[in-house]
Amino acid sequence: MMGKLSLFLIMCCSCLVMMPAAGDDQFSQTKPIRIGLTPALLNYQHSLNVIWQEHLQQQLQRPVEFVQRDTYSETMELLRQKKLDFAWICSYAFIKLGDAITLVAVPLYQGNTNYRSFLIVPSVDTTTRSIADIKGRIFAYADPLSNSGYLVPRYDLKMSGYDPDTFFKRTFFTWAHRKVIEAVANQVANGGAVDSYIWESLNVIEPELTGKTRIVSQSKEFSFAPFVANSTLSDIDLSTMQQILLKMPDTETGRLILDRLNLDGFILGTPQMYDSVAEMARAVGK
Amino acid sequence: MWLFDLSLRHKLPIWGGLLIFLTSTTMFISFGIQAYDDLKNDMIKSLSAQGRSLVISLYPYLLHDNVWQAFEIVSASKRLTYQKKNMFESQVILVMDNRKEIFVASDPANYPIQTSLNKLDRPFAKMSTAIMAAQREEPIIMERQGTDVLIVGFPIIADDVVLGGVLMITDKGLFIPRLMELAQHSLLIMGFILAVLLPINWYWGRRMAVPLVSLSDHMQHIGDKMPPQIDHAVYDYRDEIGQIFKAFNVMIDQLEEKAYLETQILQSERMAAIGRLTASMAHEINNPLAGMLTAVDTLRKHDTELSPLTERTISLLDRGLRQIKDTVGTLLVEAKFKSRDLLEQDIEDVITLISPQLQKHHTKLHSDVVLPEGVPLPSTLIRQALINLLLNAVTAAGEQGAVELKIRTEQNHLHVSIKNDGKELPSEKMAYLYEPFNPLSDSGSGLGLWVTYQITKQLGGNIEARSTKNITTFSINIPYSNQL
Repeated sequence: MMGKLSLFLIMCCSCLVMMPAAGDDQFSQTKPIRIGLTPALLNYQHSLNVIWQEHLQQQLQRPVEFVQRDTYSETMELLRQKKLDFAWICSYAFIKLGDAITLVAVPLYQGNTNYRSFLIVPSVDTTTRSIADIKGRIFAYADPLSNSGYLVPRYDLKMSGYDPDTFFKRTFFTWAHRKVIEAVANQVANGGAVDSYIWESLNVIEPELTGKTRIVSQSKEFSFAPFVANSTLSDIDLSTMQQILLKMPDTETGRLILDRLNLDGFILGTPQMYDSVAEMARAVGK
Repeated sequence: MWLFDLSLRHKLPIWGGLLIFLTSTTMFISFGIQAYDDLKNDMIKSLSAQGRSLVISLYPYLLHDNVWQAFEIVSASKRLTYQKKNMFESQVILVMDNRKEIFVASDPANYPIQTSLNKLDRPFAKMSTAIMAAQREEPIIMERQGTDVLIVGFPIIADDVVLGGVLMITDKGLFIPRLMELAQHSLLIMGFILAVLLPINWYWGRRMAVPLVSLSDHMQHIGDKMPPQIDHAVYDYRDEIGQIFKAFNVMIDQLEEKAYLETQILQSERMAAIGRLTASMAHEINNPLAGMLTAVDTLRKHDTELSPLTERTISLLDRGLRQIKDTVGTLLVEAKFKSRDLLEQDIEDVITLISPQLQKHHTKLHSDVVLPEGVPLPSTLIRQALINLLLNAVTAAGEQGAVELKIRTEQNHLHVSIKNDGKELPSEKMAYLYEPFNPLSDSGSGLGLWVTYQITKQLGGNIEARSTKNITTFSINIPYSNQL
């Protein structure tokens, strides 16, 4: 279990590698399905990628390619340029992309589709009670297109009457949730915003790292990062993929993959599930 | 200082040992200083190499204000040196921006981002100023005085503009364990050297000291008594010490000879004085004695009517006076009267005369006599001297003793030597050997040697006695002239 989780968490980190299609000969004649992965999801997990790719190819009877990029914005750009058929993106990116994409499925984590944003500080800091206590200090964000790692803390500041651009003395991006935890644990930053799903998972497999951080506050719940399709994709391709994702818990390989992703499965979602994120985005004026 | 007054026996090994110890300690210390410098230079080199590679990697992130990537590079660099177990690792790496503030540090807890280096300790402020003033990407080294802290700074320069710098802070104490290891090694070597050299030094020191100490012991006694010669085995080499030994032995020889001559002179002077006294006394006694003897004789011849009491008294007087005359006569050895020359037959006669004594004491006599025909010396006197000496020798040899008589002539000299194997003559006895009525004489009148001495001296010769543990020798040496 630990090994699987760790693999999963690594994939959540910022990534550099683009996974080429290890295409089987039988599908080489057909145009491959390209799936974009963001730092919130599969990254670095080559062995899982291979299994999942194999699984999808078997189900789709087509070659499948995983495309990995370092930042949300790069993946979004590939979607806009229609170079990706599917992508697993962050909820804030989902709002940003608007009509360019269609929702395919929402992951199930611990029985529901929700997660939160955690405000964390180094564990040596025992006095901080709210984000207001980190005023004028150094803060770590995950990615400018991350909901929990960027939008949520900025929205909270705005709601409390602060200007998020000048509230901290200095801010920086780590381009991955795990690295926000590292930055706070090492006291590079005096505080940071992180995805609850990642912090909790890491707390199981690397408690010595999360142990160096302390959760100061939790945001309200948001819907999990969605699996989306390019809006130009045919309905058949979309629904085929939807079915494959929904039926993952029914196959042995599907269960294995979900297990390694630390997820329970996928359900059909609605774009309205992300309205609260859209509201926040509007509120902070982005 | 007591150390300077020690015996050479201790002084040489101690001083030598101290010298060896001092030398090896000095070597140990200078080696330690050298090792310390080398290690420090290695540390600076290692840090400079690390800094150079950091500058290249950090440059774009400093330029693009990418704190997190800079932190990852800095901590990876630190992790790398840590994994290599590099003892020269930097403890803290600081990245400084062009406002002299911390851009990022490997230890952000202690060195938070945007802390001004001017607010940190003095070396940091100095280093940041030095980095901002730098023209080339060369390491700048600073040490924090009074501590082990060493800072190596590296400016990050792009297009002649200083963007910032890398500061690597380390503790020279990190190489102390290595230094200790080296020190342990050299201590072992030093111990080995000492283990070899100290015993050699000890042996050599003793070797040098023992003959000198023995010489000193010998020399200390010069004055009160004659020291024995030094055994050659103590130091049988021909270097200066060997020469001193040789010279010492020659000196002892000469001193002994001198002392012997001195006693001889003293003895002969005393004997001459005694001789003169005896002669004048004898003359003084002889004159009235002759008168008295004549008077006694006259009384006997001319008065025939003497009462028996008077007769007995006169006879008593006569015997007493004659005994005085004999004694005085013996004391007054007169060598001037003529006598025939000495023949070998005389020697045989002497042996015959003493043979009853030889038999009585079961003494073995070994005679070795070579005499030419007729030695022009008065035979009567020589015979008397020989009898005296031989009888003394037989007495001294004791029961079952051995006596040796040897007579030779050489270059108009008569050499006589008489040896016996009796007890050694004590030195106090030797001094008064020839004096008349010698109180030390065990037997006899104590006049035998006196007479012999007088005869020898009056014949122009000399007499000598030497006594060792087993052999006592009396030698007579008398010159003669063929013209006589």
